[in-house]
Amino acid sequence: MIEATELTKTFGATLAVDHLNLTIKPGEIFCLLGSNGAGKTTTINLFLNFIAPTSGVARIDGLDVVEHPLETKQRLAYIPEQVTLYRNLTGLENLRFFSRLAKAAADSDDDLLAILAQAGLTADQARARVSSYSKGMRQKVGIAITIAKGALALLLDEPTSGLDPKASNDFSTLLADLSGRGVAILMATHDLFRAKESGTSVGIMKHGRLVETLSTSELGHRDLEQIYLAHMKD
Amino acid sequence: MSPGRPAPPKRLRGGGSLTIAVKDATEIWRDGRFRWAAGLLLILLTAAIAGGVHNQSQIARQHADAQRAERDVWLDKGDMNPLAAAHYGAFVFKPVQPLSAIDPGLDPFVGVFVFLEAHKQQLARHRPIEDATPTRRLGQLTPAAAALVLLPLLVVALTFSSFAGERDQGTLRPLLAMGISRRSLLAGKAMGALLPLAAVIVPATIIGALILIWNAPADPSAPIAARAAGIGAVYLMHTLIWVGLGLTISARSKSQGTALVILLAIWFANAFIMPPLAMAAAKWIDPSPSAIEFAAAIQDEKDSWPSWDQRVEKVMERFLDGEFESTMAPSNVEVVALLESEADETALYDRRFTELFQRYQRQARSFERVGAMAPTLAARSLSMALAGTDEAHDREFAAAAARYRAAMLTTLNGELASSGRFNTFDYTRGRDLWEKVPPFDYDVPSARWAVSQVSWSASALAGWLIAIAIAAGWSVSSMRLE
Amino acid sequence: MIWFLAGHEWRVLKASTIVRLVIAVFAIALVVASALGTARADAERATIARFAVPVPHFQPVTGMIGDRANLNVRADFAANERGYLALLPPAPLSALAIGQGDVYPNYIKVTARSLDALVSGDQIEHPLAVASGQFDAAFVVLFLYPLLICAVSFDLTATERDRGTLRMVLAQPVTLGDVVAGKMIVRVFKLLIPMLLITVGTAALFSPTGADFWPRAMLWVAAIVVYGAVWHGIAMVVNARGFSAPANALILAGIWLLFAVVGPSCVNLLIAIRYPMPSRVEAAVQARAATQDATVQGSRQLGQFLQDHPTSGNVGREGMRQFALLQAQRDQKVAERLQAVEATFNAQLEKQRRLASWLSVLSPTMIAQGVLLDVAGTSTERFDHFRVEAASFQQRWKSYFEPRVLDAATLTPAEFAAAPSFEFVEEPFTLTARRVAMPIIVMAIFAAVLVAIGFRSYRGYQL
Repeated sequence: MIEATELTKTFGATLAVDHLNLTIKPGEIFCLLGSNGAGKTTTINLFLNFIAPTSGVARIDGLDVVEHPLETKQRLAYIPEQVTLYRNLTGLENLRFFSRLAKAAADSDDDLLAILAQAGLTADQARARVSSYSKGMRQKVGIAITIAKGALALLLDEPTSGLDPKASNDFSTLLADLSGRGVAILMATHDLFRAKESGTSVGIMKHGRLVETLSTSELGHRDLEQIYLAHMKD
Repeated sequence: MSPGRPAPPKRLRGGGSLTIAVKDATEIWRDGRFRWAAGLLLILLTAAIAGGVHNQSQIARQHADAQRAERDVWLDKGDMNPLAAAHYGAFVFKPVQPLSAIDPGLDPFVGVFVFLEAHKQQLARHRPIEDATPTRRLGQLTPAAAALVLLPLLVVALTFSSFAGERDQGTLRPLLAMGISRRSLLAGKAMGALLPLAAVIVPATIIGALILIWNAPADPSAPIAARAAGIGAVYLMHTLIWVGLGLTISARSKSQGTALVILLAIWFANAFIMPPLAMAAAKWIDPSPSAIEFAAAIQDEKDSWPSWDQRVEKVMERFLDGEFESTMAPSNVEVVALLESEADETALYDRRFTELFQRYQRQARSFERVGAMAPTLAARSLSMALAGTDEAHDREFAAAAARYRAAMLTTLNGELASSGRFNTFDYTRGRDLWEKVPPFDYDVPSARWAVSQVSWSASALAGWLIAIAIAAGWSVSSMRLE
Repeated sequence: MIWFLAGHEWRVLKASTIVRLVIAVFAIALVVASALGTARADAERATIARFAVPVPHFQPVTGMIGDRANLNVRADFAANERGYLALLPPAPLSALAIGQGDVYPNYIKVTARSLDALVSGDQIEHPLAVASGQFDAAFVVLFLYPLLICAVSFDLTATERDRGTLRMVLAQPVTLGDVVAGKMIVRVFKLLIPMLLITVGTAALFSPTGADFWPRAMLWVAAIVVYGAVWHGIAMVVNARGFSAPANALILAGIWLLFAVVGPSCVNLLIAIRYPMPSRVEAAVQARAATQDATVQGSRQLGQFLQDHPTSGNVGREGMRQFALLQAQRDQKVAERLQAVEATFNAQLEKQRRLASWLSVLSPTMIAQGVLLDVAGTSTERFDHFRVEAASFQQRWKSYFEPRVLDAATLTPAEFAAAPSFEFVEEPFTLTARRVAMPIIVMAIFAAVLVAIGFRSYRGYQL
């Protein structure tokens, strides 16, 4: 599970994340909405320990990410906006590399191909070089890494930007599948539609502060957009 | 927005080249890295010029003093036998060229003076490099090195991303879609690199010229102006070649990183690998003997000559045959034998040294020709030739020294032979004879002669300039836009 | 984990055109340099072998005094005109570094006279060759190796970070330190292995060598490893600053220029300013003045002329003895004068060298050059040692011949064969080792510090 307690980050004079309090339980899909520069990516970077918090704590599965960097990374998975893999290696080889790095149990070609199939890549696609992959296919490798690792938490940054509707829908299905396995998911996105479709909760971030948290089941699509725009007005 | 036909696109003045040039130049100027690099280069250049000029003017003064002192010594040595005087010998000192401050060339590696003596011709001795600490061998920061080695590095820094950088960022296609022709783009990029370069080159040239004028030699006959202008032209051409090369590689490279590495590799090969490689090739074509072998060959030949007694016998026979004038007394036979043996030895040494110098000349020529393959080496050969510090000038001096020596010996030996005083131990002469030997006077050859010695390099440099211009044009017209 | 990362990095680098280009250039350069060096060393060895017979071309000539039929040799002729050729055998690793061998001669002609006692013929090398530098293995190590290190290391993490691959990797339970270490290991070995194999291999195979070869080769290897480590450290520190790949490339090229080219020039300038060398022109003039005085004081008439061409009719043996004595006296005076001049030079040169060895700390290239030349045996130290040995031999030669010269004697072939001969004794290897130990340790410390700084800086790396 993913937890932030009074998480704060300042860059010089700028307050990028302002006393963020957040709890995402296993199986929950939390969508973080906000304009560019609202602090979504910084939040994700804080959970990944790519930057250190100015104050407050970020926790994965109860462990402080700053004090237990390697243990927390073992438990989480990360899919950035651009899933950049090693272009001259195949999808299978990339998966093998990342899962070995993650000390995952699955190691044999068969195991890895099975995982890639779960993520939606055929064996032929898996054996092709990544330089030939579309964005959706690369994202599927990212998902495969998540599955191979057996991650308990998943961090996503703008996952559906640049995906065609079919790919976007596939992605939602995969998310639901992961959520069903008990993975806590934090997704930063602009995609209001996908947030309402896939997410369990939605948070609106503005100037580093979480100004509103809503449960998607209580909302209609129209409502979400109106509430969002209302916040963005000032 | 009123409907209607959109206004026709404005034709940019100058095809847009000037606009691009100004934009690029501004970007580069604002880039702190360039200002640091350019500033540093300017400082280094100034230091190199100042150091070189100071050093060279000191040496020139010493040489002039020494030459004068030597003349006094020669005239004041008192009375002695002319042959003793010939063995007493004389020093002639290599003249130091004023432009050697810009390009010392071979000066540190060739001898400082020659000692002229009957019997043994010698290579000029006591090369300054022998006195140098080992670190000296690693590099001399001369103005020539700054212009031919450091400046191209700056050019590489300015041009490697001209096209490749824009392509990586995705701004290349939009640029051309604005209606600029590829040719204008090339011109604009070239100017955009040359403008910041001018900020370094122009002050450096002015500083160099000022320092040179201030340190101008006392001898007005030394042809500096033509040579100095020539050197400036060579450096300019070399820089232009590098600008063209940078643009060409940038246009054809996959990414700016690749362009940079390729250009750095070419730069390194030109500046550091080509000289020793060309020399190795030259020595392979025309191997030259080591010092031992040379001395041994001379000794071998001397050993095959008749012994002293045999010589004297032969001259006696010839005397008895009536070959010489009847005024010659019997004991003069030995003097004649002596003179003849000396003439033989002189001829031997002359022959061997001429052969050696011819080999060196061939080596230098091979070096120059092989080196013409690399624009930097071609420029280097021209620079040294124009500064007067190349092998050809050294050879000219050696030849002049040899001629002077021959004339000196002829004067002295001739006096002895025609003196009619044959008791060699009592026969002495004085200052009146010494004054008959004129002081050593050497005129530095003209700039035209200097260039004619390295005509291959001159043609090669011009050829490179043309070739690069064509290559740049072709590469820009055929480059990928993405 | 590091080894796993290194293996992965190896695979990734295999596809990189830049790396392939670099390795190819490196291999070619090494092979060419080794070939040239070996050829040169072989030629040198052949020449030395040819002249190694004492006074090789000597054939007794008919003496100028006494009966024409006898094959005896005039003592002064044997002692001075012929003299003895003291030879310096080629150094064990001379194929790898020509060093000062193209300026300092490997032979010295020894005569019994005090003047011109050590007449070293200048090494005849085309001045262009000396000016161009030699393309030997030492050149490749000192100049090309660092540049190639920069070429494969300028993009250690920059592009991966810009593209995002680094974030993907660091989202896994690995530290950036491990990742960087793996990358460095691959680069170190990719360049070091061919370098060592080709240089040491060529030297071992084609230059049959003395007993010292393997210890020296080990020192050579140590010096190269440490020198490379310094440059890898520099590359790491620059990369850790977080600039883009092209920016790194330019910075590294600039650092290389600073250490390899500009630095040594500035050091030379500093040395020349602090301890300017008295002009050799000055020395020549002073020598000339010394000779002039002596000639004036001595018997001018019996000067140089008689020495070369005494005629049989004019002086007898007694006259010859007198002449020999006068000449010896004159030579002594002149030698003293010249020694004073020479001493001034040598004192200044010594000061320069000491300052140079201190200042060389400023550049790893300067430190490494000193070490490599010393290990290869072509440094000024070995040539100086040769001069010292030749000087002591000259004393023995002189003490054998001088009485006979002053006596205007002739030598029988047996007497001639009994003259002393010269055998060069290499300085003990431990002396060399002790000299180079310090610089090697200094470079190792530099490397360690740089690598430590590199790892430290990477902790603050902006992803």
